[in-house]
Amino acid sequence: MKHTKSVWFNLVMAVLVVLLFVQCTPATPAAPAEPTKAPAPGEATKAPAPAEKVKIVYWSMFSEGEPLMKALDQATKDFMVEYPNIEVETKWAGRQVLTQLQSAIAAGTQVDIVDHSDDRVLNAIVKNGLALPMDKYLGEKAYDSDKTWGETFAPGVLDLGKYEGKSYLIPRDDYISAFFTNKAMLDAAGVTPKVSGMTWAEFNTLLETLKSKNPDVAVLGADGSVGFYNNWWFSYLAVRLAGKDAFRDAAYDKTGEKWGAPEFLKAAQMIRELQDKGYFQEGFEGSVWPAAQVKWVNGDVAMMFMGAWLPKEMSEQMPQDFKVGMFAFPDIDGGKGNQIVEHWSNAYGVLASTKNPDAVATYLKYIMSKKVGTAIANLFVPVPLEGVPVPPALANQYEILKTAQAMPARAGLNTEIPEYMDNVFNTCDDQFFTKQLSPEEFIGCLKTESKNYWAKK
Amino acid sequence: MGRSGRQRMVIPFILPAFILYTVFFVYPAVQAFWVSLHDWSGFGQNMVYIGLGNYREMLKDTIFWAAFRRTLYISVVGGIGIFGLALFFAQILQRNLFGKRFFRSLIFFPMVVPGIGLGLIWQFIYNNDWGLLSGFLKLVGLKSLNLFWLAPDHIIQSLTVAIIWSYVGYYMTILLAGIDKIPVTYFEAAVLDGASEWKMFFTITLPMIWDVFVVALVLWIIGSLKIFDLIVATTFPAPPTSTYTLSIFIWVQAVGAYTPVYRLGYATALGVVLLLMVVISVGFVRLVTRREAIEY
Amino acid sequence: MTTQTAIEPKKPAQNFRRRSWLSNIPYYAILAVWALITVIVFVWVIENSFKTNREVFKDPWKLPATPLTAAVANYTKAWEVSHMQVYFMNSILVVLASVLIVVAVSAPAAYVLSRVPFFGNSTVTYYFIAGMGLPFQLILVPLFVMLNKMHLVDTLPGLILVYVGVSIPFTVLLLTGFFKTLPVELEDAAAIDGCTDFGIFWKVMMPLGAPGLITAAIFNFISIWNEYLLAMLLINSDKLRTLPLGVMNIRYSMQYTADWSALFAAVVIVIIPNFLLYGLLSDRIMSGLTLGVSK
Repeated sequence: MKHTKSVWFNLVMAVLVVLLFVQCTPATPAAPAEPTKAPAPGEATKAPAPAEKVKIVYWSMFSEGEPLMKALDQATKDFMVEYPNIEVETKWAGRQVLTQLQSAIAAGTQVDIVDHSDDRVLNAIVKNGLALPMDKYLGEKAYDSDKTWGETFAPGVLDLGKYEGKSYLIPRDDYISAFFTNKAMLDAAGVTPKVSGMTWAEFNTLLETLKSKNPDVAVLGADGSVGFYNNWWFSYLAVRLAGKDAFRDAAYDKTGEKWGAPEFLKAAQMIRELQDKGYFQEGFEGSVWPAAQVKWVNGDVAMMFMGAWLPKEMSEQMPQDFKVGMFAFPDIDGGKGNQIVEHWSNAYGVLASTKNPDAVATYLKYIMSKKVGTAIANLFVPVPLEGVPVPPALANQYEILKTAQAMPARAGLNTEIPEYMDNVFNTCDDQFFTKQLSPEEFIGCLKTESKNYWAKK
Repeated sequence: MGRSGRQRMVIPFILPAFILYTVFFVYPAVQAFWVSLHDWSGFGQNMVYIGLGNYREMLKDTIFWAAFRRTLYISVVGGIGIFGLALFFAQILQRNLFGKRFFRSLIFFPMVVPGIGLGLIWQFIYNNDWGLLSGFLKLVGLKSLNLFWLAPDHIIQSLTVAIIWSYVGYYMTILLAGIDKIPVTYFEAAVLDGASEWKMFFTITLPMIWDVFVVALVLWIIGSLKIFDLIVATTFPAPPTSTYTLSIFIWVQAVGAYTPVYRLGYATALGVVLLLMVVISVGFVRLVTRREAIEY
Repeated sequence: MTTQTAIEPKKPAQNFRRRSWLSNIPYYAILAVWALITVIVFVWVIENSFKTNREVFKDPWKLPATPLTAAVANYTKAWEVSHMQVYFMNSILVVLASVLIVVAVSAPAAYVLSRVPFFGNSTVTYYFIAGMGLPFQLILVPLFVMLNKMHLVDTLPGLILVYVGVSIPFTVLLLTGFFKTLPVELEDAAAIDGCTDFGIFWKVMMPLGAPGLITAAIFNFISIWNEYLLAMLLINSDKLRTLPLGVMNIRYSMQYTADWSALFAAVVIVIIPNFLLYGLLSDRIMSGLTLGVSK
């Protein structure tokens, strides 16, 4: 009798196990909300506050204690005072917010707004059909301007948030990549770089002058530990020499052979030349971020190629009298891709599942207004709205954008094929940049790894 | 034997653990296996069933194989380092040394600091500009030995050293426990026979703690294949491709932690492979080390 | 009635272990080197927390110039950003609850699996143990979805239940191994004395098994205390964060601004409670681990 009982016990267990195998689909996310009636465009009044209390949830890329977090937090509190019917719940999740969002969406948790770099938000929610197009709201009146919301943005900026013709992302702070210099040091050496359109020869002269005037200072700074900083050098030179389209074609080429074009080898050789001439700081290959930047503010490195977040990032460490200069990546004689600059942003994305799109839009219009934009800009953060002052260190950013053609980061490859960039491009480039591979070997690496990558797809 | 009443105990005794384990671990794991058969970003509902497609892709994925090799490196080299040191320390700490408990506690101490914290410390130690290691070498004039500890060509070795330092205390303690229980009479007899200390180690100590040793080895294999926190924290803000072990690679592919790559289906398949690695290694070790239990 | 079980590992005839002081020296030397390295590392961390960023960077070997002002600045910043009290309390709460529950449910299961023959015994045992190899990254999304249905996301009880679930395999393995070594005769004696089966379990085997339970508790304490991945997934609210999450959070806030001296201060703040806890309990921990494994 005991034996039968055990048999039953084990049968029940077996059945349970089988049931587990069968029942396996993840939960469905909440159905998208019905759109509420929107006010007619061109209305003179502020966006109407909702009649009853609504709650919207914002998951942020910032952690508590970050300067920008404090500014946004204050702005949110002010917003809630002005619009008492809209409650904004913020979670300061930090840079891993999209990871947590992944699970939250699958579980149907309410999240209305999320922010991060535009390529990440694009890949996370826009490409998966989970984002709300904001075109309608961009056509409405802005918070503190007579123009429409969309018109208050600097020209071209809204393109950063477009996908398949619709505006999904609202850029909050936008950046270019350029050389950031210790302006005082350059002035002392009698060097005034052209903000945009410098030639490669002029660039080399500049480097030599600096080197001879300041033998104890490294002219160029780099942190070899960061793959997506290292790859700037090759991607810019490749685009300069071969043109943006050729660069993209080479990456998408399933045989990998297009990397064999002479321009790419030349780009690699030019980088190796710079390294061999000793322009980079000693030990850059093993330098761990943010060491090189710190050296820059301490006067041990003259300039770095970096994104325009650099002054903001180093603001607390900067000595009082530190002046920042900025100039665009030089052009190459005969190059097919001159006068092109990378342009990207940190952007807000709205989840299509939101039940209160109007409230969300009202909130975002408030944040992306001259008033709040100015508060943010005071933290050295560039906000692309008209009437918002440009942080002094980035004065040249918009000048460069005026003359150069904008392209997304790494010619758009970061957003379109991030896995390729990670597994092929950065893998080979890291080894090349830290001098483990010669230029020829580097090209060989690109060819082979490209082929392998596309073959496994 | 009139112990048949014990059968009644079986279900109620096992049930709580069974339920908790199944609900909070097995059920999600089984769903994960299901996910591994799909191409899915992890966002939204568009899961595409591709059967074994992810696994086929893995076979051709050079990054996967590199990660696989690195994982094995850490496991094997780290294991040799840890167990070599652990056995050595355990043997030494047998003796009646002054401050024995102090040393045991000190060696064990890194285990109570979260891996996230240890990684931070190690990143600072390995810093070439102002880190402890480079600073020390410069101080004693051994500047030529100063390498770029965290550059791609050395980082795995540096990480392995950090791992060994951090975990040796844990395994030493387990082995020490095993050694402690060996009756002294064996050693006394051997001493009378004129055996040297290290001869005794190999002929008496090692065989007698074999069971414990195997348990510790299995624990290490499972743990080493999964090491995550320490590597992530040492390579902050983002682990470079040269440090990808399987668990880091899974993480990077799954959740877009550092680059906007969201491939939950593929990452889960990688996880299944990791699980297989664990099962096979453990099985292999137990097969190879099978011996008669020594009764005394 | 309880048999006399040796609690201390038998200290043998002293003359065997006591060697001539001289022959111990090389071993002292090696231990001293290792200890020195460990101590230097932690002293270095503490020292750097008393410096300003420039000093950290420029003169790694010089003593801090303005230790007090720099320390005040660093530690206040670290303390403010780190919310250490909150994180520490949360960690203690979560770990204690998880450890208690895990041992409480695993012990009976392990007892039955190791000593009661029944059909499917080995299957169930393997079922429990197989979970040991599973990497947590696999179960992140399904786990979140399920917990969300139960309204347990971003709650400490939810985290505790998850920790219990994932710790059961190891604990069951440890305890079954342990219980197998306990003598059967005692049980039989107790049965003859008229004890019920449950009584035998509770009054005889548990006291005997105490060392093993303590060991299991300690091992679990250590791994859950340090756990990061699952906590990161399930906890968003700052007031519920555990210590490892707190450390990562601090890094994000501070390393982005290259505030290294404050980071050092933060590390010290994280280590101190661990250190105190460990200092008070290390003897217990060592003996607990030793006992459990040795028996």
